[in-house]
Amino acid sequence: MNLNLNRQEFKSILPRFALVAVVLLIVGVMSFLSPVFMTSKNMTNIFRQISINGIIAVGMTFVILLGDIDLSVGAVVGVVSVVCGNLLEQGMNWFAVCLIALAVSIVFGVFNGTLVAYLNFQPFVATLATLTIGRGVALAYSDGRPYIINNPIFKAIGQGYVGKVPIPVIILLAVCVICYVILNYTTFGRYFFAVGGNKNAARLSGVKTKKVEMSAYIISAICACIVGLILSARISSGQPNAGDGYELDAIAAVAIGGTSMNGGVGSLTGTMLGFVMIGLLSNSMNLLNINSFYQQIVKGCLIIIAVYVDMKSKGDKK
Amino acid sequence: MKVRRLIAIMMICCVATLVFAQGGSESAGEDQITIGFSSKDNSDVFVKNITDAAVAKADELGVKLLMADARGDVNTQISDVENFIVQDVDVVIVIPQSVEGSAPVVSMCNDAGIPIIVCNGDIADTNYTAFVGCTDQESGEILGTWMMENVAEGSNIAIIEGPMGQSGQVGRYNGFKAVGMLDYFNVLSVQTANWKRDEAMALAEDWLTTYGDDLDAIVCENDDMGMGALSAALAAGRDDVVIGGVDAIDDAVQAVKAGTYGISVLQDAAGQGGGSIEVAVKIAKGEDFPKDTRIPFVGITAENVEAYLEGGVAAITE
Repeated sequence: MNLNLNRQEFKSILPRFALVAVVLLIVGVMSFLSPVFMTSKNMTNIFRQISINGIIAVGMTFVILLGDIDLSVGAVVGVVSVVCGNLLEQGMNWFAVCLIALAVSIVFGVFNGTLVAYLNFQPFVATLATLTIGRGVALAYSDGRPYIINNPIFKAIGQGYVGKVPIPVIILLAVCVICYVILNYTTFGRYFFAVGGNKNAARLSGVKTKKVEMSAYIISAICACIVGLILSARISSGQPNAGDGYELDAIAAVAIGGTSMNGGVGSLTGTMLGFVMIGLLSNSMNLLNINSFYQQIVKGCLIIIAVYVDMKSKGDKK
Repeated sequence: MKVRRLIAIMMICCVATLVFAQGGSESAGEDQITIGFSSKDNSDVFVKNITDAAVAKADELGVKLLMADARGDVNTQISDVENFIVQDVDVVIVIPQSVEGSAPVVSMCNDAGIPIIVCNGDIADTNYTAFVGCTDQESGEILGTWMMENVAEGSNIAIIEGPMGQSGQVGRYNGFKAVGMLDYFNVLSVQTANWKRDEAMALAEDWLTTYGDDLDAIVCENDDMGMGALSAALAAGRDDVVIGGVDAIDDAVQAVKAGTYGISVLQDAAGQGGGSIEVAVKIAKGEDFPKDTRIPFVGITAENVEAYLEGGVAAITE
């Protein structure tokens, strides 16, 4: 029994070795092809660029672990961006602005959670509606025009450094660590795997499945909020179109990381490798001056290959 | 076993992509001038015309051009410029995605000591090294004046705008205002179609249904949207609706020639793309350069369309 479990575990982390290998490979090949790739400046860039997609992907992992999906995160980024822009333009304290943004995003999370967990909407449909509503709210709130952000402390969230490390990277690390601990070392975290694996069985054994589902959407929305703050600070403005399409990049990272869209199987480390790989690849292709149209083709192929390897390794188990 | 083989294939694919994509750039000599060009969205026909002209000019002058495409996302644009800075290019050229949101790239380049040329659109931070482009307001004025000369006073018109807050949208709308077009006509509706042909088509279809024969003219802030509106009008059997736009893209010019499209205000894409490269090379060589190059707009109408098709821009500007 024990041995069997180990073997299963080994099988399930096998595709992650493949991911690590590919990440190392990209790094290796790139350090030959581009003289600037391995410079600390470029590494700083890569991780700062990764942090946007990374934080959303971490939140998205919770939702996808349940077999659900959250398409509304990009729109939440937009709403947070205009709310911050407007309030900062009126001279409000940056910390108060962040708290208000957090509250706004939680409203979106609760809205999604209510539709899915309590009103039994399909997650795809519910969050698609929230996406449309959210984008509309952002445009209506701002009348489609961007706000200018001048608050230096707020701008530091996206542009500042602690020592040599950009603040967005520190936030990314913090989010990863906190979520990793929650998911892997708390009972609450294990519920996500239980509910995602078999909702009925989890409910019968006493797990409050609706609350778990609700909290997944709230976590996802909070992550989107953090990204909204970083992004607005980075571009020094509150843009109603901010975050357009970010949900898809995040889902791609989660998928590459081996989390099953059916729920129950997956890991945060996989997601982390996923977004690091996407970030490395897009930085590499930019450094190599590859036409942006082809970059998208490469990214799509990467998803197919990664998921295929993942499926195959799970197929071998049976 | 299968998994291992797959991993191997995956790795080979990645190496192949990177090596293959590296292509001709290896031939770059030590002293060659390198220019980083950050485009806002190469899927936009007009922007593509600018970047194509820039690539052609760079080839002609024998300089190395790195092209990055932000695909309509401000955050990507900032990342692209960060990458250029790491690569230590000699000059950065940027077509701003957003007047406000793209502004940080100017200070980033200044901090890195890299000259920055702003091409085509305005940017909020005016501490750039040089500007090559047009004054967007001028195109709005030409379009507005033509409409006032060719459509009866007090007619019912609708306006299709670009993405709110972008330099083209703001400038052209101000141009309409400056020549008094908004007061001269009865403006039924003003909506954005984000420079997109399909969105404009849907918008025009709705207007044609709502206002029917009362709608006399549709003023579009670019030709892609103008073409969308034209398709909708023709499909509804309304060849009497006067439609005009900006950019002089190929099919718009053909439509002017065919008599279905009133006016296309030529924004000289090649002049801007090629011009920005010329200025960049001058800067890199330490020669004198013009700080502010304004390429004039000119309206293409039934009167001069033949001359334009035969002799190009030069035939109608003199």
